[in-house]
Amino acid sequence: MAVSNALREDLLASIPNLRAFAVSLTGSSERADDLVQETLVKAWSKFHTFQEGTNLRAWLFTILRNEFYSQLRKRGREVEDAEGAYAARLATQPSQSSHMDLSDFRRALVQLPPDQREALVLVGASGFSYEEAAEICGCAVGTIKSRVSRARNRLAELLGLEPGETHAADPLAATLTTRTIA
Amino acid sequence: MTKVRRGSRGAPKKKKKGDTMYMGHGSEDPAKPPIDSRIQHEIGKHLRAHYDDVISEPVPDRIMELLEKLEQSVAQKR
Repeated sequence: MAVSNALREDLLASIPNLRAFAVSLTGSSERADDLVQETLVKAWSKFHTFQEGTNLRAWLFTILRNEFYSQLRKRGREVEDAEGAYAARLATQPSQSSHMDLSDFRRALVQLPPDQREALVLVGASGFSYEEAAEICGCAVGTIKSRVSRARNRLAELLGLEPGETHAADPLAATLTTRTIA
Repeated sequence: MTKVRRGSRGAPKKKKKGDTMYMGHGSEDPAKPPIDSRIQHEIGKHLRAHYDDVISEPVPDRIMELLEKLEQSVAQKR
């Protein structure tokens, strides 16, 4: 299948974005680059199904996330669980300084369930609308909305951003709140 | 390990995919009020910082090499 110059340029321009999405999904730049490569091979084999003029980026993102989930199923849950446990170990309490840094955030992000992480990233960083994200994920718009909302709630908890009163039982949140007030 | 997909009737999308993935978290209580806008803003800011940080990285050589190979394979076929 011949690829037009315009399409080629669009494809090249999409790669940094695809990588960022892949890193967000896998939590590892090594695995992300594998995933991007597999996505490109797949995309190449089915470029004839792509309608030029429609959203190439959404098309590529769809291929990438489907590839991610099919790998996840193949690799089985145990790998993911092991990684989750690892991430949880890494995820020490929110840093002492009042300023959360990028690595704090990333540690929290990888702890989200993949479907929540995916929805949050598509809508909150990749620049897709809820409708586009729903199309990419093959689910209803309402499902995306609730995943994004759950993702935010969970991140707020993990990062200790929860307002104090809802977390009286959490000594850490209580400490943070006290410190903020003091 | 063989998996038998029951009742899908050839439908490509499995809507129930994520259903088993977020068990055990306390955040899905529908009664829980939405987080306030300050926290939402804070999360959005960090999410974009994380994302933009990856975007600004140069595309690895192995990806560019793969693209060249893909294009050559097309050129050869024609």
